[in-house]
Amino acid sequence: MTVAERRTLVEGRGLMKTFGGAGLLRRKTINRAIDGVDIDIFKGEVVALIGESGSGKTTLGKVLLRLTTLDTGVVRFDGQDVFRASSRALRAMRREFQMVFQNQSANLHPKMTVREMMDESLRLHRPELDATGRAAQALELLGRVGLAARAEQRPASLSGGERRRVGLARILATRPKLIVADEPTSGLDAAIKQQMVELLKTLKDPDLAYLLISHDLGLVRKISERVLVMLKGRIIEEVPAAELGRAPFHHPYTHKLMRAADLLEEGRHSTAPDAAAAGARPFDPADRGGSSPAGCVHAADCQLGARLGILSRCSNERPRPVPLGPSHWVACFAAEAKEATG
Amino acid sequence: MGRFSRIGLWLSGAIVLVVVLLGVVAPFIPYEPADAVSYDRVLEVPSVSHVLGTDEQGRDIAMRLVKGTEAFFLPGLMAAGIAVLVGALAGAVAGYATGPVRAVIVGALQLLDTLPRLVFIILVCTIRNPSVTLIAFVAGVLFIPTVAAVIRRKVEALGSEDYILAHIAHGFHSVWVILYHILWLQCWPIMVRQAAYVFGYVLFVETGLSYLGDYGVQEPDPSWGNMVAQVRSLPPDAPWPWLVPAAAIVLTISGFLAFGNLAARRGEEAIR
Amino acid sequence: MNRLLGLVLLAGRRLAGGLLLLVGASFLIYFTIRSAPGDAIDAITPMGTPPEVKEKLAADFGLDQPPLAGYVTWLGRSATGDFGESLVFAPGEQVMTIARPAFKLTLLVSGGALLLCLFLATALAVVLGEPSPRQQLLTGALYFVTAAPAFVAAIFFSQGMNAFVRRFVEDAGYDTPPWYPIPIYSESVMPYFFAGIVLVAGDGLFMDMLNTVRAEILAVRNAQFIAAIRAKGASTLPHTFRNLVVPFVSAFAARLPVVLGGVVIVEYVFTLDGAGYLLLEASKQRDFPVVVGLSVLFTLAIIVMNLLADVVRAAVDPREVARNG
Repeated sequence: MTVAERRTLVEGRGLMKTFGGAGLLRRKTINRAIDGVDIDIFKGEVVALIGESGSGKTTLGKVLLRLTTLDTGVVRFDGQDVFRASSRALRAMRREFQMVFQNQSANLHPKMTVREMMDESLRLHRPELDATGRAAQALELLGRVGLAARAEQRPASLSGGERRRVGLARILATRPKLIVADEPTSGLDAAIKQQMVELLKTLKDPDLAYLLISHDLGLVRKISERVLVMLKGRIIEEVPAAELGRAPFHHPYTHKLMRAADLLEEGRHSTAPDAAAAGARPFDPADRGGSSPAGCVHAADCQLGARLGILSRCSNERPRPVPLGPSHWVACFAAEAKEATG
Repeated sequence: MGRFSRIGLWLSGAIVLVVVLLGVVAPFIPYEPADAVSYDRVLEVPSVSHVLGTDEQGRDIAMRLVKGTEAFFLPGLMAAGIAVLVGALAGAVAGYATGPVRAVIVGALQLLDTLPRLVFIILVCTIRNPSVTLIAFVAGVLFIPTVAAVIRRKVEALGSEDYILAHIAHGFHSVWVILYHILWLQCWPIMVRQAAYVFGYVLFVETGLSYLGDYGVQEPDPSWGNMVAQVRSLPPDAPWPWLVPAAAIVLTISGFLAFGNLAARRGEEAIR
Repeated sequence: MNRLLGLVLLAGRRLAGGLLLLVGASFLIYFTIRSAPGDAIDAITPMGTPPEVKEKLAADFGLDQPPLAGYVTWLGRSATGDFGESLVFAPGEQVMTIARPAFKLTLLVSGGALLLCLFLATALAVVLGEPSPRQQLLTGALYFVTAAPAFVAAIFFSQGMNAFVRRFVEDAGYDTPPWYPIPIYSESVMPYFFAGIVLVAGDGLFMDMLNTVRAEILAVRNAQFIAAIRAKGASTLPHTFRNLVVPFVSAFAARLPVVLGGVVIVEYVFTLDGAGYLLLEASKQRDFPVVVGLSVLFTLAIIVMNLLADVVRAAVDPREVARNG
């Protein structure tokens, strides 16, 4: 899909969310999970959200679906304000945006068979169907995820991958426009993982958009079109998946991620921080919680900034997105410098 | 579930069944306490005509035992109902809600939980006309926090497993998620256990207060508690008038507790 | 943060919370009084109480004022330990004067019973070790026996004693032995001891305690860190102990209300001059100030116990401070 023809499905502006807070008799512990994020998801695209655990990606996914509260900001789904919607309107919306949870059996009830669970979903989301229609639809959906033969099983006799597929089949029953998939392959072994990736690809139709939350760059590059990199509650880079590791400039943190996933093509990146120094700083508990830094969230770890001698600016001023190409921007002062010189 | 637990479940289930049957049937059996007195058959040993013997006033013990279930059966059900229904709802909301709603409910529960139950029941009895129904009502209310605490723990565990969120995300109404997916599908074993416990507690309080004699059921109306109270005046060679109801109390309470526990354990195994 | 400071802060917060609870509970108690049908003062005093006593009582409890103002009056008096004067039980005596020795005794008996229960449960849990099917018969039987209400246990106990004495002591030509629990001799310690035993054996307390204690012991014993310590060849005892303090203290505090309920009836059965006996006796004689004063004191005892348990837990386990700080 070309940039010109994409239409916005979800639009998040100025999103802020902090965890913890003040009780009457309790010390304040504030942890900024999402720190001023703007995000767009376009109709029918596959966009990935990557970042280390604790970077706020799951929270962002939940915020977009109003599965958690939001401090400030606006989320619009198909033009409707999600956080202002009445509970009735919200439930109607929920049909169109669904979430695959990291915990594969989160919404499976142990005493129900797969068919019964499908029936429950279909009764909710396809009230126009009668019992036979639901049964047929259930079998069709289970067929699409390759589980038609297991309709009479209960979750206990299903494998982790199968449970996740049941979850997917239930989600498909709602005919959603957006699926937020939180670590859809975590906890699965390599072969099943591959299966899951293939399944996600096959289920994709032109009207369905995916927001893929993952720290697995390999997976992300295989199925997504656009990648958003998140660190400590901020999105610091947007890059077309095909450009990952090939673009002339990446955020130093994205580099770190790519190096970890072996995605770097050696010798192409003059901006690459040297390997020994990347991520060498020991874990500091103070990193968790606390208020967000005034400057770049990566400033304290950044080798590139140190080399360029711009660290004082990095840690005091918040970097703005610097456009580097179609669907590619980086929130980094080093990119500004590069743009100016190059 | 082991073999002994299964046997225990059947045995305690049988006790519960018998008590429930007696409790349902008893109100329909005509019984006039005054007419039952007959001083020409005082303290008879168990026989064919009086299966469990007779007491100091020649009243048939078996009959009084059956009629005695009336004293605690409906009040016990009421207390269990109040404690479990209100407690489960309060617990689910306390585990699910955030902000001021949660704070208010948690505070109220904590407050109720600090009141010593029997002491408060006696206080209420001092002030108001002490009927078993009132006692059971107060007991039911005082057990709300106990039920709420276990339900809340369960709901919070489900919350951390994203069980609740997943259902909300799928588009279910949050009230439906609480009532059906959480309370009905996931918490019923807890509710069974707690209901049995509260029922046992009401039996304990009713018999205890009736035994002490001033609150609870008054002679000549039968209660297992005031039947046991005859121990004070019985000759040592005729223990059955108090032994029978005392055994009934112990059997019923332990039967209900065991049934609640074992049935709940079985249910939890099935859900897991 | 400084550990001690955290602990002090936690204790302070808990104290504030406890006070709040006490105010709330006293509010409930007061409004239970105010909810009395008809003219409250007639409902709560025995028949034939002279009008001047009624008037004084009404003034003491703020019954002559609107509910909220009356509550404030009453709370202010109660906060200084002034619960009014006894009407019937010991006419003219300050409630606190009668209540204090009785309460001491009750706390001693119930605290002792709880400790004994905890000790026996721990001992049995250690002896039983890992659960096995064969033990289920034993635990099942124990479960059954200890589920008896304390008053039934007390009757069985005293009747058994009576039979024993008749059979072996009197028949042998002896007089009642000094430890004979019923009737009670005022000087003997034995009735308190037996009351304690009955409290341990009745109301399902023992099995409840055993289950809790056993689960905790097994959890610690099978914990990975204990395996690691064992693998190093070090003694696991201190670590086991340290990890058991928190659940034990919790178990103790959580069951105090249960025992404080059971003790009321047990004291009455054994006619011990404790707060429970006093409460029931005062309640029967409609000695209203005594009943209310004791209700507040019982509630206070539970709140204080929970407070202490919280602080002890936090002192032993730094995570508690972190969690609640």
